[in-house]
Formats: sequence, structure tokens, C-alpha cells
Amino acid sequence: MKIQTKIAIQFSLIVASLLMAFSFVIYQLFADFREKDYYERLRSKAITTGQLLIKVKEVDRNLLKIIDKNTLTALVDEKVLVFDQHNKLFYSSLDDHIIHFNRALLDRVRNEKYVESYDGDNEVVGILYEVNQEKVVILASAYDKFGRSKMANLRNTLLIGLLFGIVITILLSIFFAGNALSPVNQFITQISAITANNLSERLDERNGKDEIGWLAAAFNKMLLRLEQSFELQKSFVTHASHELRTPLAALKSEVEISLDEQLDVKQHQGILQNISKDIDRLIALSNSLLQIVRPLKSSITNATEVRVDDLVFQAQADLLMGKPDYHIVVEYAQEPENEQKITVLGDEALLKTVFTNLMDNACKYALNHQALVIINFTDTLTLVSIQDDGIGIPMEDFSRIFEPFYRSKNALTISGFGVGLSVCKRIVELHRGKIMVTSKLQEGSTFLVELPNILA
Amino acid sequence: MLRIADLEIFVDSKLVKRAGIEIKLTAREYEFLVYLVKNKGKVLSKNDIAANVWDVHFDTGTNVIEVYVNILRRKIDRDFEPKLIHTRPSLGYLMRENP
Repeated sequence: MKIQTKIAIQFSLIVASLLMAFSFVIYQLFADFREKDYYERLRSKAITTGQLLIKVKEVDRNLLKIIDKNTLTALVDEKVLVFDQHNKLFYSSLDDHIIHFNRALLDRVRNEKYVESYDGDNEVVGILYEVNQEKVVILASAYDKFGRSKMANLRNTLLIGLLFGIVITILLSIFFAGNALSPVNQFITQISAITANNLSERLDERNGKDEIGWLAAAFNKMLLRLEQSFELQKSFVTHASHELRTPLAALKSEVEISLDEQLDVKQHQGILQNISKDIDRLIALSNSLLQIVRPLKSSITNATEVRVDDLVFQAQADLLMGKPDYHIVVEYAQEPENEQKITVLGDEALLKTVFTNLMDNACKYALNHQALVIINFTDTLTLVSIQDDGIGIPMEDFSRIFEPFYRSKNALTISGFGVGLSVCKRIVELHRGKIMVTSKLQEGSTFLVELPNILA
Repeated sequence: MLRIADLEIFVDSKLVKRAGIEIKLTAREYEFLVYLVKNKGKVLSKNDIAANVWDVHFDTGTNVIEVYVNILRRKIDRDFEPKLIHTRPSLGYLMRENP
């Protein structure tokens, strides 16, 4: 069921039941009041009759009848009957009417002294009147024409009011519920229209000052994240296939040459060496592509206590093994009197990748392939800075160099895939650390890695 | 197994004990200690150490070796007697039981 319908129905039901309860109570109170009032009138009539008939000697039955017949204030269908001790009719205000009464009622009056009862639509009051040890019963009955017509009138008014009230409530609740939920319906239309091809579309946030606005804002944020990761994926695939194609094409042409032409052993060897280089490049590329994807995991699964300086030396040794022309100088900024300050909790292999990548970059872009690594610490952080005196990074690229596949314009002449720094950033952030860069064009760059140590 | 005084190095398991207490070392600290113990009694220059423990051309102008010597001292010498690692100023380091 639509929420709009639900709200409308619930609201209508609540208001309708309130209205009904209210009308019922009013009607009931009025009915009670009318009845009491009328019984009171009948009682005084009965008492008056009793007094006139019995106490006032000047008035006898005939005179009383005349008085009764000519009273202006007579009630509609008024009857007054007086019975003596033996339940014999002693006086009747109307001769020409058939008078119904039953003995049971008379006995009840004698027992209870005062009885209120009905005779069809007529109210009946019976009282026990004691005069000179003689107990007479006076029954007075009449039809409350005005009271009952007032009641009918009230009932009709209430019913009509109720009906109108309910109809108006239903209409209004449909209107307001629809009004309140119409932005949601708009959302549904807008959201349905968003596909992989137009992730840049955004919902109308309507000032963002109510729940709907917040919902829209939250949804827009989600869209932004979706769009970003989608873009990332797209550019990843594009770049990856592009990067893979170049060495593959080179490989193919080299193989074709060696197949087509009559070459001597030395030339074949040269070609095979080229092929080997290209394969190395492919391996390096697929490794870095893997690195990009791997640390996407949201937490480190195999964290151990790792000495950061040890990682630095390992990374240094690994790099120098493959690239003996690199020169990496490692220094401690201060003596670690407590080795826990340079120990972090993390994935050893991933953290080593960070330092390998950063040192490799530093040496790659430095003029003499030289890098300076300084190990430092504070009470809660282990700091490693990697400096080079290379080409530097333009200031406007400081934030972008950590994006996957982004490469500064001045770095394009040096081979690389633009993945290393983004991998570093992800790994460092995975370890709740920070990676920062300062650089000056033509003077060199410094990358600073901050990792919380195990005392943090 | 290598031994000097009550310092024992179990080469197979790369386990180091001083006075029977196991001492945790990083891979490079272990290499360094093994190099020192294997050459006990000899004064080893920073160049020797760099070439043999770091086995790459190493800039001995940095403080790395001093730092490692101090770390090793804290781990195997500070709480024990006799002291095993000794400094020969401007010459280098040596390891032996008596100073």
C-alpha cells in the first residue's frame, strides 16, 4: 500500500473516531439530562396532584379533573392516576382514555417509594404518598414531545456534522499526505532515470532543511561516491589496457622481426634481450596493477609489529638489487632510545611497498639517482621522509599526484604508470597514517610518511 | 651455535639468548650481531660493518651504524654483565668478554 494512502487512512480513522466519540458523548449527556429533567417534572406533577387531592379539602376528584384538563402547562399525553391502599383506581385525570397500568409497577412503587419507568414512549413516575396512615400510589405519565424532538434535532445535526467532518478529513488527509510525499515521488522519478551513463545527475536538495532535503543530500553524497569509484574503475581499465598494449605491441613487433628476417645469433640475442626487458616491464606493470586493487580491502588482515627502519633497509636492499645505480642514504634524525617509537602495527609487505615505491620514485626523478631517507619519530608517530633533488612537482599537482594514473606533465619523459603514489596513499591510509608532499620545481621533492606507532 | 660469554646464538632457528633469556631482534639486528660475534675480538670499522651487514654500498657518513650499535647494546648488554660490545673511538667496534 502506498504510504500516502496509509497516512490518509490512519489520519481519517483517528479523526473520524474522535468525532464519533465526541458526538456520542454529547448526545448521551443531552439524553440523560432530558430524561432527568422530565422525570422531575412528572414527579412534581404527581406530588401536586397528591397534595391537591388529599391535603386540600376544597378540592375533590371532579374539581381536580377540571383543573387538570384546563391547565395550560399540561404535558403532552399527560395522565395522572391515583390508587388507594388496595390498588384500586381512586382518581384518573382522563376518563375518556384507556388507562394501562400493571400491578407489578404498583407493587414496585410501594416497595421503593419512588420509581422511574417507561410506558412505550412515555415516561412514567410512580410515588408513594402517605396520608393518615393511608398509602396511596400516584402514577404520572406523559410524552416529552419537545425534549424528544430536540433530541432528534441534535442527533440529526451531529450526524450531518460527523459526515461532513469525516469527508473533509479524508479529503484533507489525502491532500496533505500527497503534498508531503510528493518530493519522494519526484525522487523516485529522478532516481529511476539515473543509470551508469548519467551518474553525474543530482537530486534537488530543496534547501536541505527537512528530512526530504537531508535524504536528497545523503543520496547525492552516495551518488558522488558511486560516480567517483565508477570513474576510477573506468580510468583504471582504460589506463591498464593502454599500458599493457604498449609493451605487448613492442613484444609482437620484436617477435615478428626475429621470425621474418634472417638474423644471426647475436642479433637474436639482442632481440631476446629486448623481449626480456619488455616482459620485465609487463611484470612490473601487472604487479602495480595488482597493488592498486589489493589494498582496497578496508582493513589489514595480517597486521604484525613492524620496525619501520627495518622496512626501510629491506626496501633499500630490494631496490639496489635490481637497480645498482641507485644511491639511497638512510639516516636517523634522532636516536631511537625506545624502539617501540619506530615500531608500527601493520602489514609488513604492504608497508615495504610504500617505501620501495617512494624510494624508487625519488631515485628515478633525481638527477644522480640519489635519495635521502630520514627516519624520525614523535611520542605517537613514526615519520619517514624521502627526499630527492629531482625535477620537482608543480604545486598545483600536489593533491593530484596521489590519484591513480595521474602523472605530472614534467614527469612524462620518465617512464612510469602513475600508480605508485596512489598505492602508497591507500596503504598508508589503511594504516591510519598520512602521506604528504612538499616540492619545488627543479629543486626536488620530499615525501613524508606519518604512521601511528604502537604506543599511539 | 655461536657463543660469547652467556650470549648464545642458535643459527638454525635464528634464536638469540642472553643468560638464558630470549632476546627479540629484527632481521638486520640479528645479522649485525652474528657478524660481531663471528669476528669477536676484532675491531670492526664502520666500513666493514656496512659492507658485511648491509651488503650494499653504504654511506658511512650517516648515523645508522651508531643507532644499530646502541639498539643492540640496549638489547643484549644493558641488563647484563659483562658488557660485550665495546667502542674503539675513531676505529670502530669490537665484541669481547673483557673490556
